Amino acid sequence: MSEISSAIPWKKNHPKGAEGNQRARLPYLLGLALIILALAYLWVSSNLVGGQYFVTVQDLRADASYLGKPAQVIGAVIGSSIEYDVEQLSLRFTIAHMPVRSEDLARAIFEAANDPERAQLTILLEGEVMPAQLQDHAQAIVSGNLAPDGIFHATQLQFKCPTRFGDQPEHEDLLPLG
Amino acid sequence: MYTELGVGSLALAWVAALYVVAMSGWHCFRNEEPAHRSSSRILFVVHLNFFFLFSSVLVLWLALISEQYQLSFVWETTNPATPTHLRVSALWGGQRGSLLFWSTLMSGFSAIAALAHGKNRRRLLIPALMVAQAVVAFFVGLVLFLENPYAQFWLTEDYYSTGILQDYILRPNAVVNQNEGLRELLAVSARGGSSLLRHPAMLIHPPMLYLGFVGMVMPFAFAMAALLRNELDASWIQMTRRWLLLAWICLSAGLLLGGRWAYDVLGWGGYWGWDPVENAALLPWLAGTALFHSLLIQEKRGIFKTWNLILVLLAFSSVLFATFATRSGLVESVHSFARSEIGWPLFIFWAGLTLLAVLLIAYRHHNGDLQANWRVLHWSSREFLFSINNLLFTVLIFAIFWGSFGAPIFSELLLRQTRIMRVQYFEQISVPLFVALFFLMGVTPLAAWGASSIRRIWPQGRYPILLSTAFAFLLVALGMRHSAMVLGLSGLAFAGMVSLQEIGRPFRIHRQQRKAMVSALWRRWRRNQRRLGGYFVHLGIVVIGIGIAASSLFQRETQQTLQLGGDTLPFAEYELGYSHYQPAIATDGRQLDIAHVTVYRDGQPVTTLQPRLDYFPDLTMTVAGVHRPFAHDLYVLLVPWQTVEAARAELYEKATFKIYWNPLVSLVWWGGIILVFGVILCGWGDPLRSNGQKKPADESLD
Repeated sequence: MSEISSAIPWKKNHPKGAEGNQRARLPYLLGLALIILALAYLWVSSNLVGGQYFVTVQDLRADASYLGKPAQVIGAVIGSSIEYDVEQLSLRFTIAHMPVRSEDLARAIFEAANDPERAQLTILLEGEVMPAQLQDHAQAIVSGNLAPDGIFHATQLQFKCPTRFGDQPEHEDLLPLG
Repeated sequence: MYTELGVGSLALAWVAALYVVAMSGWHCFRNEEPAHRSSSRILFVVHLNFFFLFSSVLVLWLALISEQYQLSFVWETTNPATPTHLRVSALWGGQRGSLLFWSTLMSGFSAIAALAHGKNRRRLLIPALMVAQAVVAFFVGLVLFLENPYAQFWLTEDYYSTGILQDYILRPNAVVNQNEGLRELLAVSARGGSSLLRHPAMLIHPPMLYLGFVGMVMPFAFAMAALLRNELDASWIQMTRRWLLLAWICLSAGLLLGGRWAYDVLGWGGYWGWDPVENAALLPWLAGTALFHSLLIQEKRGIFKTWNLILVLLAFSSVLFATFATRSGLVESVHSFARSEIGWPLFIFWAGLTLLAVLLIAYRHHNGDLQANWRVLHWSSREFLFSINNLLFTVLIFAIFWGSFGAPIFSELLLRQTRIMRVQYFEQISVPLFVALFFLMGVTPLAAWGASSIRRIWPQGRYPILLSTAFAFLLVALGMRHSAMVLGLSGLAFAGMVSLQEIGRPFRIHRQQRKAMVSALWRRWRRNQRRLGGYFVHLGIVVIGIGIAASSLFQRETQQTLQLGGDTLPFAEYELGYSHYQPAIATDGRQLDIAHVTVYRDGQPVTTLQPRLDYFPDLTMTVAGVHRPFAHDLYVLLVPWQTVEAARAELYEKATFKIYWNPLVSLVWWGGIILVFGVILCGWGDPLRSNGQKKPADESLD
């Protein structure tokens, strides 16, 4: 490789020496500075437009400053609350407060969905097909914003579904041995 | 028996990897070239490492296929209804199996490198194997000690007191009985994998991505070897290029297959959602793409030596980070694995390895070992344009990393309030950068190396420049007022036309020189195959870009309830009617609701689509019916009811459909095929003379 590079003539004479060299570099440095400024502007403006808060149901309920602002909220789906109007493509369901991080996701969802004391939030999504993974005891990650009527108008839904409670087989699974 | 065999092979593989690290590390430390016998032993142990890991994978595959539910991994990922091909893919369907698979692929790459370079390039190969096997040893250690897929359920006294059956790698002392009948009982409660993963693309998508991820280890290993040996000429680049091509092509195919899976299975008419885990896979792809371009500059001009090492590090470091992000629970994503114990070890390994590599690069740079033949670049020279290309790729990598991981982590640490980025952020920042990159993709091939190119660009590129400018005016005349859209589409047209022009150049020169012989044309083609492959890759990217731009800018959608045998719905150039309802049972026992939708054009039936609902135990999947003429996809979804009973009560009368018209979306997949073809040409296109010297490419094409 070095043979190739040395074989190719690579000359650009700068008779004015170091001073001339610096002067010659100035337009490039200015150009580079402009490009970096443009990129920085792009980054800052994108951050302003594209940011949203990631909150729990409890935080969203407790803080009025979230009203109308883009947010992503996490919660446990309460299966009995799911209502879907097939003709209007209008989906409504309730999620219950759960912590953002938990060592045992299935247990955290189970406890949240079965505790009536937990803060709850009604989600409304319109114009979309009901997501395949929406079901009782799924973890919902919902993007949208909270309206003054207390309903969270969703624009995007994601779900995580532990297929069953617990990571290991339980006594009921293996009754004949018990 | 499965546990004993599997764990035994894993343990031997781990010892073998550690042996390679220790022996080659010793030679590196003494800065000596190992004796032929000693290095041959190292190469043999590298192959042994792969043999043990592959044996371990075979044992797990056997356990999955023969339904050994006493293994907790088999119990989690399959059940008696799982068909054989999904038992095979279950290996990468769960965290533990996928880590084993990942380690085996990485070990396989080390073994191939030992075979490919073991004859005459051992001075760099041995330290490279040390680095690669250190990574293998780390991952095998994770599998062996923290995420072992061979853990087995045992009936112990704890089970009778807690009611929960525990899995163990070693047989516990307090076993109550010999697990008689346990396997059959566990089969009843076995979970099986997610039904969403039953798509054919899921058989190939994860292995492709893994190959792409894992493939980045060899460029990194050779770069580190070059730094350790202080042999920073172009040899490491030559040894790295095909590995990088392999990794890049696999990553590209993996990303495209993932998009196809989302398009076919997730039922939202799209293929990319800027999900953090998708983005994590995109980062090494972007770093690899930037690296291809800057390696070319080092080969041609001997500059960018430090920068190339940084890019290799960035590519591999982003692979490790993506692995950490996917498997640690750091980000919430539909793709991520469950939270597990490997988060911290992965984080420490990622941070440690990255820091070590940065220090090594800094040390060599400080010592002046990476001095380049720098001169002031002319702003219109090809290398200057390449450097702008690299700058834009770097900003893109940083922006996507920030949006996916940086913003949430820093806002949580500094503001105590988590702020994450929506799709709008990624669209707003990536679109202008991609548009600029497409313009550069068009201009750079027209520029000359090392000198001002202004006088050259016009004669070389006047047709693409004129035609794309005319295209921009046409778009405005047709009513397009969004400047970014006009710029983006004309940029795509410009880059595409330049790529086509460059692909056609050997034919034109051949014709001008009046050489009629096909063999002469073939020789010219072969001599320039690497360059032409690059232009095919550009063309593939442009075709994908056109598909993405058209299907996202001009997508149309509607929703309507249609009576069975009733009025038709006019949509785009079609009319759609609900003509028949068919309940069915699939061979695996799942129930199906199939709606027959007749598609008319100009009053004539064109096709009958069959959107359907698949009722799996864990979810109801909406499978689209798609009419695919070349110019667009007509994508029809049958809207599901909450229960199968409700659906069946209604479907004899009416059904609701969500319908998308996705123009030119097929170009996304066709562009992928062109891209793969181009990469194959690049990799295959290094014709060597019998003395091992490469024939020079035509200067006239440069």
